[in-house]
Amino acid sequence: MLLLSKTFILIVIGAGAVLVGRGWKAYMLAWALPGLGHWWLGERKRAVLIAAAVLGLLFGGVLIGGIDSVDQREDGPWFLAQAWNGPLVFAVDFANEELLKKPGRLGELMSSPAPPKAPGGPPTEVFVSSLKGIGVVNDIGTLYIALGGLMNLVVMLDAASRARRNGEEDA
Amino acid sequence: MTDPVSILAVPTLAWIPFASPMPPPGAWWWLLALPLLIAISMIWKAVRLESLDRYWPQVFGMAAQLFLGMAGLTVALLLLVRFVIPLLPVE
Repeated sequence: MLLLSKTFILIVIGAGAVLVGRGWKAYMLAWALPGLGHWWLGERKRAVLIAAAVLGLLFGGVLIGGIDSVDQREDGPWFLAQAWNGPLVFAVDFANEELLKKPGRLGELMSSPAPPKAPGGPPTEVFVSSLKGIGVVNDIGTLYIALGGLMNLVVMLDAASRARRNGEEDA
Repeated sequence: MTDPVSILAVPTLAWIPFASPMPPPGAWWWLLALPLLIAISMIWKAVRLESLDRYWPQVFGMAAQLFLGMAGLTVALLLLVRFVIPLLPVE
């Protein structure tokens, strides 16, 4: 679906940079690495606290739910929120695609429990990784990373706002 | 052919941190909300506070408020489902 594709999400993030105007550098730095926008503005202590919390949610989520917690193809709406964590979350999605969904990398591909052509089942036989998350911990991991992403959006907007204010004071 | 039970059992048999989901915490799953609430409070207070002098008391205060709010909602929903809804007429 176009609205949930990585390209569209990156366009939305880029469009945000245009909308915030003069604070776009701090906004994009905060997306590139959580806390970096505030660090660039000289708010070092604030930056460290933000980085610790946002990255804590990201790595905590992956630790709890596994790398399958980030799955743009199968959990597109969740990825829409997770993408605001920055390139790191795109790397986790890439790792999920490369390590879990391709045979012979990590774990093994197993036939899906749902038999093909059964009512409610897939039309053809589906193979899933033996490391795929199907329980509540995977949901919790997904939630951690999605909430971390949405909170980083708040951080990005704050960094842009502070950058604009600093610019006005300098002028 | 692989039976569904073996797929369900895999995460508890060999947990590979950061690759596979952690073993299910069972009845203690709700404790996983605590780090989440603390991290959200850390981010919010880092953004909102002008001075970071009283940062940690503010963070833990907000996290406690969120936790109590969620616990209150849980109790309210429990009362609704267990006691109020059964009182409704069937027809």
